[in-house]
Amino acid sequence: MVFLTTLILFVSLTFPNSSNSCVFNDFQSQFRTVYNIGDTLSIEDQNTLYPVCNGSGNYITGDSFKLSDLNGDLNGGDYKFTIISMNATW
Amino acid sequence: MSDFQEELRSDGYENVVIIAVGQSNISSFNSNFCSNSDLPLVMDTYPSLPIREQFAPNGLHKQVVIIGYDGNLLGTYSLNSGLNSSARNYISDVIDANYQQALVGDVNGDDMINVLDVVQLVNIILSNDNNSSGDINGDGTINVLDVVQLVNLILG
Repeated sequence: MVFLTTLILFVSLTFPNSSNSCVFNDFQSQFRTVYNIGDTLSIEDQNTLYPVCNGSGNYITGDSFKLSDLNGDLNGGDYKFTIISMNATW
Repeated sequence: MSDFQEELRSDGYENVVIIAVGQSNISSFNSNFCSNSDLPLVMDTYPSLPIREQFAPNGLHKQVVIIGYDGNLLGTYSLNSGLNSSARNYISDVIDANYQQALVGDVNGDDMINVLDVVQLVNIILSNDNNSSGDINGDGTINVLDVVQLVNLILG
């Protein structure tokens, strides 16, 4: 009995965050904002940076892209319509 | 798609930008894309793929997502059958339906809304010009209320 208690205590102290980490990841995934037609993307999502691996137009390879680059309300008045073509997002 | 972007621009939709989204862990696809396309390719970061996830279920391969000038999700379309006439018409229709709204406030027609439009609007008012682009609030007259509305637009 003492051995079993010691073992449980050892395991709890050795892996204190493993289960919490999974819960946190699941929480993030479960509650990621998903947009439907008519929704406006949050400022946070519009300001998320993504790497540009093929430069063209106003972007060069190695730049960062964010959706707010094309939102006149957030970029100083340069209003653009954005068409996102999904490629290789299997 | 880059040809389609030029097509839209030649149809008068100057403010349309097409961005391609790839996936960070598929280097062979990305290399192939980069050597065959002049669109900017933005990386969706594997494994979380946040771009795909936020437009689910429309964030998958060959889907198109249309976002308006203020970050509003306007439409989605599947290109599983290619960029055919149905797809082109859908995208054009969505943009057309929302395009005029985007131009409100662009008094000088430079595709931007800033203090230069305020200057232009004041000149219109002082010269009693009847330029409809100055009717920012849509009340049929051009006066100081339109200036106030335009300044509010600029300040967000």
